[in-house]
Amino acid sequence: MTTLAEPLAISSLLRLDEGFVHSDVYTSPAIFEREIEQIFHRGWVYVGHDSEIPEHGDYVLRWIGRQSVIMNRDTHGNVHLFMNRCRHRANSVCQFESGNSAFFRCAYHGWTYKNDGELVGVPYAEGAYEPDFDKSAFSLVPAPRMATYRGFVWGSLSADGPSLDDHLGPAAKHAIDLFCDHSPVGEIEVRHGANKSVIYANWKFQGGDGYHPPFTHQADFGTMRNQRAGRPSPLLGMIKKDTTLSRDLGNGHFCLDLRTMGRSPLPDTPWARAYLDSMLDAYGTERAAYIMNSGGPHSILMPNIQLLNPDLRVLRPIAADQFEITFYCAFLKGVPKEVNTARLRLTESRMGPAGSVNVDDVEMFERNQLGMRQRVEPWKYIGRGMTREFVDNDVGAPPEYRYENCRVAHYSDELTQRAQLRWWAAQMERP
Amino acid sequence: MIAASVPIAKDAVEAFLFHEARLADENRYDEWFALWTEDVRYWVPANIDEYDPDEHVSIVYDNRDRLQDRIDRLKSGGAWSQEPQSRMRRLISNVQLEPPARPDEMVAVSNFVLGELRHGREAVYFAQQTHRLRLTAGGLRMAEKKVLLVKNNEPLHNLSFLI
Repeated sequence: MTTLAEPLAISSLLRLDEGFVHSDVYTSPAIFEREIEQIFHRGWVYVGHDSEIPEHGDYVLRWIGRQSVIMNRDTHGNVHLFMNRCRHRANSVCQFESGNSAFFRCAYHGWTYKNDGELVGVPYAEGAYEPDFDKSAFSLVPAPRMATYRGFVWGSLSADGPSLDDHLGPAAKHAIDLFCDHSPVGEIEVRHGANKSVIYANWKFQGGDGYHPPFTHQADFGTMRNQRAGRPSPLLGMIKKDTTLSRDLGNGHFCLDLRTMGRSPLPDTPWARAYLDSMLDAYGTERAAYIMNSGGPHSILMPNIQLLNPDLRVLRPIAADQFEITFYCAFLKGVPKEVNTARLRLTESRMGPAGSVNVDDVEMFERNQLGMRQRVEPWKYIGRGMTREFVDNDVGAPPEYRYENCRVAHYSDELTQRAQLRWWAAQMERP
Repeated sequence: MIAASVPIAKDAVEAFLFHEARLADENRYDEWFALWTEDVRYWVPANIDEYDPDEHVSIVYDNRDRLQDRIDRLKSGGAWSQEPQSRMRRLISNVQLEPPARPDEMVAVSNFVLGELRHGREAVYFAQQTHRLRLTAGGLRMAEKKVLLVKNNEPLHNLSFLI
């Protein structure tokens, strides 16, 4: 096993052209340490959504890798991302997961910062420091970079590197567009609670596996309900369909492209008709129908968010064999209340620690982690569908959501795992 | 009526709570489901203890249909996160009766500690639970059960057993 003391030879752990990946990629503490440095402390990491801090003074406490950051809106309405660390002796200055405050005050020695980061209070400073002591040099430190797309906020702890635009690329942005455009005003609201799961497995298990649902999820609530009604489970039919694809969105991002399946029929109710009418008004017939039938983007964006209707899921890596997922139920703005209530009931029945889908994913990930401890044959096979990949330009989609020039394969193929690992290797080997 | 016979009511309520806990502990899904009235509100809040469940996500928010899904799933043989099943025991204490809204109902607030063991990993859950119990022709039944986990804002491992 790769240990902390050995130099890491990333390329020796991948034989992707043959469809093999070494278990160390998922189990080694040394690999995990390098992931924290190379991916989470260097690249772009999603921290939050600006709808979480709508009012002046609002803040939320988040993580970039192992580092605590405050995302807040100052008294003038500007959004900041501050390192949660007093400039004096390094205590954390913010203790609550969310709140509203004009100041961050360090309880240790009373240093006090305005919510725009300016240091305004140093108790008993007179005579204690040089006369030219300049408080303005001791503001809260912002994360070196912050960037947003459609209200999604990312931070990077490195001042240099690709822009967020380059990190996302056009396809991932279209996935975000499709997620938000389920609202007739194109906006989501991420302040309606979240389920949180801890998983004792490697953070790179992020789904996007179209092969597993009929087996892993044979007891999800939807299947149970179908069985009671004497209907077959749709999960079994999915693998036989040729119109659904696994798709490499570029830069490690990927999706199960279920947009053509018409997965989310609306009930025949007044609120559903009002929602549909507002979507037709906002986007026109063709584009609205496409959005509504798509069921959302079902996309996984490296390194730490997943857009699976109705949830925005955010991942936090803890150790080689532990990570956390927060499932934020994203409300749609500008829709009848019942639309969002239905989204709550949908995520509760499937996600979180007591839903019917996530729990069995957790179980499979943890069995996987256990299996990878066996060292006799450490190679995993992710070669499904290697011979049926092709480049697709997604010409059937409206231009607003078109995934151009992406490698695709059958829905059940392991193209997604290979795409993730190619990106991963490039990050790990960045000088 | 209940006020005049509080000791008797409390004995009956405690007996019910202990019985319900035992059925849940022993994964006796059908017998546990049979403790419910036709109307069901089974609620485990997420993040905070009090809110409008149509405005904020919950860990569990089951009506009868969703609870039936949950029971069917656990009995299906394909609920892998309960294959093997959790071993559990819970201790119930601090039982207090509160004024009910209906003459045929009783409301009981209690605390529990649940120890759960699965795949060699032990988990402990502290909680307050509120039961709204109704006197029916078949005896006491649960119309509502609300479980306030102390750690409902922490990342939780699978709660795929009956909590």
